[in-house]
Amino acid sequence: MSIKPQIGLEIHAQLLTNTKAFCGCSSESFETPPNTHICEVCTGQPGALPTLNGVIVAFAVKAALALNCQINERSVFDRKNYFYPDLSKGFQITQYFHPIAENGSLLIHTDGRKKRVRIRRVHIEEDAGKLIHHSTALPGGTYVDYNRCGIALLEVVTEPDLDTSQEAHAFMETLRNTFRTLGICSGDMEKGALRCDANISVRDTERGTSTARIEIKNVNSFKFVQKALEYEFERLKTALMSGEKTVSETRGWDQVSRSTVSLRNKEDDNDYRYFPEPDLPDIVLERTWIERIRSELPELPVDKQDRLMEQYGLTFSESKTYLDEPELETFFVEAVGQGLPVKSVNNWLLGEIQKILKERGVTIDQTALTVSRLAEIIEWVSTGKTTNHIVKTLMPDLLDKGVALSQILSERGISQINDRAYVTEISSRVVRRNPEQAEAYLFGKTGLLKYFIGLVMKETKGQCDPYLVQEILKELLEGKNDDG
Amino acid sequence: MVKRLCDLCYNLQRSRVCYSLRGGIRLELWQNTVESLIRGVRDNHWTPFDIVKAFYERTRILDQKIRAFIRVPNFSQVSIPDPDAVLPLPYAVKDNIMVKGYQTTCGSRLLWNYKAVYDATVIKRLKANGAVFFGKTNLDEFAMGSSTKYSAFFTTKNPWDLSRIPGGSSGGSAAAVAAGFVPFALGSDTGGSNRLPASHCGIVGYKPSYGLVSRYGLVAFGSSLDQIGPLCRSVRDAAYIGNILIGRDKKDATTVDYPTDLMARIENPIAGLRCAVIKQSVSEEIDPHIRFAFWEAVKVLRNNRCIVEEIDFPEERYAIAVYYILSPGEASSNLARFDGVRYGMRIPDASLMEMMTETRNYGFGEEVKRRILLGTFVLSDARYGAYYQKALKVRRLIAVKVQKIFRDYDVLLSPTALYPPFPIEENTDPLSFYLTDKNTVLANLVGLPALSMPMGFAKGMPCGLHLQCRPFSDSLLLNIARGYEKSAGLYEDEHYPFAQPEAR
Repeated sequence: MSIKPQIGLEIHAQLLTNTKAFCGCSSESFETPPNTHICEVCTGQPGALPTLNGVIVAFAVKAALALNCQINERSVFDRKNYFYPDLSKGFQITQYFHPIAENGSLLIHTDGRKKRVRIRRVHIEEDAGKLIHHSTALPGGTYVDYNRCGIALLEVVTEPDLDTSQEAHAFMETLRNTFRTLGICSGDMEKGALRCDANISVRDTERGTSTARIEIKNVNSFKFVQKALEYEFERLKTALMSGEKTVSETRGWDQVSRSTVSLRNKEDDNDYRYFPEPDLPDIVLERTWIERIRSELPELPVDKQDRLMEQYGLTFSESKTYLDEPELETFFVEAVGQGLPVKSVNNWLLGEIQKILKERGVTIDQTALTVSRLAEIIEWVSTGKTTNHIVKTLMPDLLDKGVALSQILSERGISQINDRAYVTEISSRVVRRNPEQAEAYLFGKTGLLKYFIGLVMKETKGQCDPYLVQEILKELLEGKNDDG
Repeated sequence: MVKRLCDLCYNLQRSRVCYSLRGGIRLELWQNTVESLIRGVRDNHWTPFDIVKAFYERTRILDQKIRAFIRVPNFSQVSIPDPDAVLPLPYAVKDNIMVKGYQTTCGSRLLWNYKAVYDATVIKRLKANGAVFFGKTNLDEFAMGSSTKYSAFFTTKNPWDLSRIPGGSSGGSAAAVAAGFVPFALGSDTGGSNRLPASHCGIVGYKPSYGLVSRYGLVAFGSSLDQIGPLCRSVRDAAYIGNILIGRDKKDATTVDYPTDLMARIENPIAGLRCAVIKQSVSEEIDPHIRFAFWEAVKVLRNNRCIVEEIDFPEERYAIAVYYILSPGEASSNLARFDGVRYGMRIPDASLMEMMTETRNYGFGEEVKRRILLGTFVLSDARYGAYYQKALKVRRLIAVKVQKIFRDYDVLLSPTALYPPFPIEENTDPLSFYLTDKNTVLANLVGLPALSMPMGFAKGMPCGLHLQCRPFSDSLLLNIARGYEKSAGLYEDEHYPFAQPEAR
């Protein structure tokens, strides 16, 4: 097939600074009461002037270094002019002509192979406010909340290097993990801290034809961006093959109809009348300062994933989970560091523990589980003092209460019964009580062994080692034959 | 300054009416400079209360004729300064500078009901030094104009001739100082808005170097050009007030830390200083009486052994064109926030966009709309390169040329205004008004400190001498101006409009 999509992404990341980009207001905007983090600067009062929060520059440089960008020693703020009520000054401060960084790249993993995606530019800008439309709480019109207005954003623009929607997804994820590792963005898409617009066009490499470029905007999760891209690819492919003309437009994702819908035609786009922002001096960076930041950069996710796979022999998906869940990774590293076997630690962390954490929406550091308790669990299970099954049923408690496994077991009167004589006694009682089944077993209905195991486990409230029970039952059932 | 009691003061032992005598003429309290008013307070000749009262009375009686104030202050609302303060005086403020709790209209219908929610940095500085806010003065809408005729409310009259304009856009502040309503006032200067009205009203108008005074709280017109400065009666006053205004402000990123005491060198001799007269700024198009007054001023400087030479600066002719591309460009963006959404006037309409359109359409006056359109045009994608970007380049070239000139000279001299103030009734087309900025825009484009001070009269109206120095050499500028002021002796004449209210 010679029909391929060309995908490029524009990602906006809210920077994790305490204050907004150009004033002293708190940059907390998610679920804060409307218009509580505002001042004369961010509400665009006449005469108010912006002043740059220096932390933003450091954050931008960190991001630019992580994205292997060429950092401009001099970058300039520009004004992007357009009218909208959530834009308090009638213009957005951005970097249009001379961004802080350009020409970078980010390595992503897809389908177990690596791909380098080129970054066109990275620049600093400010967020706009939010319109709150008519509701029962706020009847009669549209209101504006300026809490978000003026929060620092970092915009990352890729080259159209992505060939599939999966690659787009992988890119967004890698970028988010990178920003989280750098500590410059929370990466919470559902809170609007990370937003992604995608550009897609489809071309026929054989015939040399291609469709118009479509921009997909206002999509609030990676999954939906991927879905929107998949949908758009099919739509454009059909159009391209049937020779239908496509127009350059902005489209959004409609979750109800699971399709993209046209928002506006590109020809209606504003003329933004960009010009250099006269109220802010140019950002001038010193090489030595940039180098100092470079030397302080933490290990980046792509490198870390490689290292995890190599160092601990993890699979791609295991290492990816640890990458996505840094608290889990910390726990893993500590556990393995104390000499616990990688395989057991993995089984617990990525199995029952992660399942419960996900259900509860918490991270492992928010639970009572410690590495030494996990060590105890692993030891008890491996020495047969208890069973996986028992620990699994007790796991919610182990996460909640700061107590040792042994303590819970004794409190609940649970102990794994590995006493051969006792198990034999129970087992023979069970067998005696079910002579017909025992006979049926002898006549070849060997599947009934499971039935007997179940009965014994029930009798002992699951406290026995099922392997031991199986062994004894087999002996009993088959031994009877010998006797008889 | 002569420190001697007038007859009346002498007879009363300690007068509260009059303090100083200059050239044998008794001065009314309101005729005193900032410095002599303060000295009078220190020497217990009058109290801050007397000062406020005297200025208030004069304003109350005369502002009906002059209309310098957007709203005549109410005496009960003016606080009385602390006598021990650095600056225990009332002052007026151009109505595009924020004074918390007071209306700030910018001379526009759109902001007729806007109350400032914070103090401009300059207001904070004056407050901290004990000065008290007296009232807001008229201006051309959003400081765009040179007459106050573009104020949405009324035109201020020139105290020297009520049928003429006071100049602009700080016309209200200049008229208020000239008429003796306040000892000094604040204005803003984007292309000559402090200096032109100072010239027309016979006072001193000072535009500090760009970056010396915080613009925080000044409603922006051309952000890279705007600068706040004082309007006052003497060069020493300009330096005295300037000292309080200047200094880095963390709220204005374009301010610089440039510690300078404007008073320190002000009385230094000016002999040997090199002055340049740009030929193009004294060309034939300028009123002959003004040119005459100018060459007389040059004589005074030469008598003080200043070297005055004429120089050629052909690129100067582009300054006005560059100015009228850059300033409307910046203005079109700066005025975008006046959309009826958050504050000011709102014309309700069916949709948001219609509401914004109608609010701006009705709220802005013709001149402001003209400049917004000009600015929108020069910034539009298709024309940015041909206009705005090119203008930025020419601005840099002019700056380089000016830098070269200042290698050989200390100061540039020219007349401030090209003509005496126009009659109010005369219908002046916008382009002629634009051209009146010809000699003043250079300082804004390059960020030079500049000052206009009285140098004589043309057709019975005052005209100003315009001085410009290299960036951040404000103290040199004031030193030269003071040198001229001393020799010209203008303030020892009785050249005060409305010396006696009854007289006119």
